[in-house]
Amino acid sequence: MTNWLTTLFLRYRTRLLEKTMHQQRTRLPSSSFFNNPRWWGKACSLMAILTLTLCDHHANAMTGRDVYVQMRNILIQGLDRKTEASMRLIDSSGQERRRTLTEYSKKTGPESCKIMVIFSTPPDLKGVGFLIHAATFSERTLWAYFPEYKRVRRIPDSAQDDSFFGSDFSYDDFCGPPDLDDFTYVILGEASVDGHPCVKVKVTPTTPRKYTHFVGWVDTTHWVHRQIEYYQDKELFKTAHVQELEIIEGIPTPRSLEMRNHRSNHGTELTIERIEYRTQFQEEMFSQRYLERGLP
Amino acid sequence: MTFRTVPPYLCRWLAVLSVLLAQPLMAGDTPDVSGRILFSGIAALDGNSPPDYPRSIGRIILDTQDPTWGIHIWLEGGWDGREDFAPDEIHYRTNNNVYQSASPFVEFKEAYGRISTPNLELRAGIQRFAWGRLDEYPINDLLNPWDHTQFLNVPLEERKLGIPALSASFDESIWGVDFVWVPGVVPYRLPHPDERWAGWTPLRELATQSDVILEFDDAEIPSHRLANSSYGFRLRRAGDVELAVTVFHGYDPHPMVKTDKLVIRRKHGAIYVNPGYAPDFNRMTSIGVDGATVLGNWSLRAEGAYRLDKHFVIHPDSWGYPSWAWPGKYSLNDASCPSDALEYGAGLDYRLMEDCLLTTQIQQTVILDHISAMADDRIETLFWASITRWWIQHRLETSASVAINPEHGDSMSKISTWYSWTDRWKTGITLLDFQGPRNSLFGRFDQNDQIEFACVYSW
Repeated sequence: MTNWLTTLFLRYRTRLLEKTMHQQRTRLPSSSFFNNPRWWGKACSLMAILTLTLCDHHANAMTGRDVYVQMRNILIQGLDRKTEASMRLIDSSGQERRRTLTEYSKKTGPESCKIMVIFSTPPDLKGVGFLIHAATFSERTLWAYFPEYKRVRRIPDSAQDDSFFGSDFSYDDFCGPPDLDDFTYVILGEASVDGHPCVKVKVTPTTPRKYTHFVGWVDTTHWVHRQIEYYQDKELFKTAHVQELEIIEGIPTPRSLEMRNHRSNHGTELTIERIEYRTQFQEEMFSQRYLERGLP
Repeated sequence: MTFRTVPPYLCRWLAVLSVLLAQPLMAGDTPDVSGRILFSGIAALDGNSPPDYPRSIGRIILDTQDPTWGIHIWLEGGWDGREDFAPDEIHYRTNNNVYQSASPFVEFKEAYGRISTPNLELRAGIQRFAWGRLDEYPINDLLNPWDHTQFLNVPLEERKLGIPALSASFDESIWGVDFVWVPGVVPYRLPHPDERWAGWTPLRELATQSDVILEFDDAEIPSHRLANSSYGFRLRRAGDVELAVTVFHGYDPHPMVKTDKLVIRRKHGAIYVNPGYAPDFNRMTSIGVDGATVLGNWSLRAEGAYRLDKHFVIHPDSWGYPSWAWPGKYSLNDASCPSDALEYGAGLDYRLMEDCLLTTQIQQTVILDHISAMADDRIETLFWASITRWWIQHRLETSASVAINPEHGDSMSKISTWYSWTDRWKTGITLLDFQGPRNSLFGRFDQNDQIEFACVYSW
């Protein structure tokens, strides 16, 4: 759109110059708006300002859904990966617990993926894992494996907003890109987070969830969340904040983020220790047998 | 309840572990090592019940990391609190005895090597398997016999004994097959008849008389030869409804008894009674199916199996014990007889709210032949229900569960709480209560109501 406006502007400017030269040559009267080069100059200047404004803030021309389409494209780009991450759980008295986990994921189609998450620590969670087969981003099949029972169990999708093994993240945070049709989007305006320009979008789920809506601050340079506030009606109950963003193999990657629950005053810091993109794992790896074994 | 001194066997046990751990380290591989130590003790709520001394049991688990091959070792040992402490000797538990109460002990729960490709995995060594879908008494989970020395007080997977086996698993798309060959016999493990978790028997009453000494025969384990091998085959299908067909042929892992003759003799003023029964082993065939699916918030699982030639105990009145007995030998009748049987069950799990899970399960055994002779009813039902709730970001876990056997009117209730102080330390308290007639599954432990205190350190 910006290019189109610039072309239009240049075309009018050329026409204006040609017309002025022609008027000077033929000495035609210039009383009407269209024949008045002064008006043409003003119009073109206005258009130029408009164009520049649109160049600077072209996100304003996007709908909320468009913002999330951009974001989802980035997420899909990074789906083939192996991530080693650590979580630091800090309670209201400052006591800490830690978890380390490895996530393997594979894009299996334009809107489908397979994800496996395996815990390495603490000892109680070692070997605990879960597996997601997303036939589409809204049709997900989940399995969990607990070494204590030595059995893989199907688990209902209804637990998606539950606490992820005692952390402030939810299962849904680890289940791959969302289905955009499951939400409605309203742009609330522009804002900046830690000096990064963002567009602020209110996102409301179309089906009942643990939160009634969330407000996402989406970085308009890299198209990733910089901050998310989760609300239950008007009450803010959880905030996610990206503390460190890094471009790895061309993919914007939140290296460090914090999720804070304002009700329990409990927080979780998630740090990506190591990440490898374009891993091209074999699809067989995302099976119940590998989930049981807990190793790639 | 008596607390003993620090066991010197621990040093020897650690020495054995060091040697084991050194092997993969010297090979240049980096093994993944984890473990835990459990300290626990009970307060018996009935003074007449046999005691259980405090336990200290350690485990160490080692895994190599290579995706194409690997070694997995699960070594367990310590003092299980069932016998008087004998620190001068470590008993290595083998597959040659049913009664193995010597303590301290050490045993391999698992020790196998594996070769893996994306579709195929071969394993050789001591293994445990988890087939079927139900909790506590899975119907199609027949490969590993159990250690019954703590009844149901330890989780199912910890009750299972490792079996030396060769296994192969092959997966292709949504299909998978598993084959297991157990070349030999692995006996189940029972508590000695005068121990806490042997349960009530008329003989225990007899043993309380000061001049009566009970003698028991150990089991005759079938010889470890190929003809006594057990086999398991499982065909699996993944999908919205997960299904599997299981075939097992081999020794029934459930305890059974055989009778020979009652022997009563006098010696040095005491009466020695050998009741003449011993653990028995019988081969059977089982063909089963199981499945699982998710419907809304419900997670459903079910399994069933047809057993051919499974042995069941007949009424003890028919065992042939004389009503009045003098010193001498008395021949007894067979204590069990074979029957085909049908076993089936279903479980429902429901997420009541965040961090709160309800688990229910019902299972039945239908005996098809010689029903009037059997000690069990034609239909035996077991109903299980459990609610588990996590609090304070999973720091505190509480659970309440009940098991009911309606045919005999007996039940077992359990309430437990665990608190994680750190990522490594947690402590728990468990209340256990049994109700019912003394000839029933749970009622025979009606003197065993107890509170157990436990502390676990893991790394």
